[in-house]
Amino acid sequence: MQYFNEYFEGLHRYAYTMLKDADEAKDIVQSVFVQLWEKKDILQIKQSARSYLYTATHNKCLNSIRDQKKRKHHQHLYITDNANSYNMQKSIEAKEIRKEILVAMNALPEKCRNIFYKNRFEEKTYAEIATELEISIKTVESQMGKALSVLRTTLTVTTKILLLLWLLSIA
Amino acid sequence: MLKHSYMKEKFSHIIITEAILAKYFAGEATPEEAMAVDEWRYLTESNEQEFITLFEAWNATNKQPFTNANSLEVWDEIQSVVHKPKPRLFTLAKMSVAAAALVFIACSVVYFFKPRSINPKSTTLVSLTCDTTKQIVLPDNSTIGLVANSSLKYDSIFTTCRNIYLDGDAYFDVTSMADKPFIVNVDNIQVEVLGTAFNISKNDSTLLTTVYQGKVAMYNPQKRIIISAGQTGIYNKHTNSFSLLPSADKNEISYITNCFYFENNDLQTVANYLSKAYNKKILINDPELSSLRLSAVFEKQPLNYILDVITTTLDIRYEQVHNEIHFTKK
Repeated sequence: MQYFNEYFEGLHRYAYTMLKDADEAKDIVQSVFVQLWEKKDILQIKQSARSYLYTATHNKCLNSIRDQKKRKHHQHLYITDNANSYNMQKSIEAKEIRKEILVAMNALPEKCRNIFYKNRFEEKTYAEIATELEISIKTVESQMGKALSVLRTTLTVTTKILLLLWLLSIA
Repeated sequence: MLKHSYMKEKFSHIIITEAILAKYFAGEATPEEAMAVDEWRYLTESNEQEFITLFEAWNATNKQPFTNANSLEVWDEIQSVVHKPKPRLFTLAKMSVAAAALVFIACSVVYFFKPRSINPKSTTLVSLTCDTTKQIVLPDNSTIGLVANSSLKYDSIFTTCRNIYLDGDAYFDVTSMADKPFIVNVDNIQVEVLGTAFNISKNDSTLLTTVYQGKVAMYNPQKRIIISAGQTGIYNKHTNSFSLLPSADKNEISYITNCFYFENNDLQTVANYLSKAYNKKILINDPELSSLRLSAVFEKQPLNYILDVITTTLDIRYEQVHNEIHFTKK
């Protein structure tokens, strides 16, 4: 399957943006490729393989998110010492990057910062934020774009080097 | 080195703006938008650099950072699934789930449950106090999350009923056994369980029982109330009365889950929950700061991270004094 080499990484990142979990994202993208293989003989894929891959990934991720929301109500609550999720936080570079980003975000205009915090820290979707603040989703989209442009310009050279160092360390 | 030098259908009708990129990073991009972003990304080397830098910066505050998967491994796994008869697909999924569950159970039993001497011939009273929050498994497989410096007493073998004596705070996940009532004794109050998950916490004036699953009865010789899932029962020591709240605050068990869901909570309340969960005294030096409000979700994050977010959001400072955290004005 030539599609695999070409699209896997992009799909993996796309799934990650929705699930925020690299392992789960990998599992979902893997199952999408399996599905593509299985369906190729049975149906004629009207859209291109690429469209099918992205759409299937998107749908599976949405299903997974919906199931997780349901599961949270019936959660079995154990104390787990998840060493993996702490390793990144413990690294000094990651800490520095986080601090710089938080400081940079503090400089955002109030409306923009409010929306950004609701998305990043209250884990609210665009739709939820729009409903809560009684604004349109388009407004949320453009305010988040503004936040990104601040992130873009305030990423100092130091941070870029730190990011590079950190990327190399987790590779 | 451009990997993707040919593109079948172009998505050039979607212009890559900062709003679209933000949508993508926030996990809100439609499949068409995601394809357009990837198209833009692979177009030039500088686009790729910028994409990666922004992607990593955006996700730097996640608890699970992005790490590239080993594509050879993934490919192999796909091959093994695709070239074997169908049933294999189910076996693969079931096996990994079963294996994970087994490992977890093994770890928790070995690590958490260390009883004192248990004489199999007669029942002995098991007595426990831990200096950190610990999970304890009872003879009937119920689990108890015991808060640091709280203590627990129970019979090593359960005969006609399951009696637990609690001094402090704990979270209970009780195995359903209709013939053997599970009764928690706290001071002069009893909390009887009808197969469920609930939390008991007490302070100087009140005893709180928060029920997440099932039903619980809370009573003393004079009065009795029933608490269902999603409710909190309150016993007021001063007035010797029971009342019922139609809500179950998930923050009450944050010392077990390490998950906090703050919704416009004042800083004092936030500090109390964090204090209990991380076993550190957290004080607010300037009294006017106690009424500042915070809304945020933290799931299994280290304390430093949470303090950073709080101080940035509320525009205050924190400092570590011996083993205490102090919030101060900027």
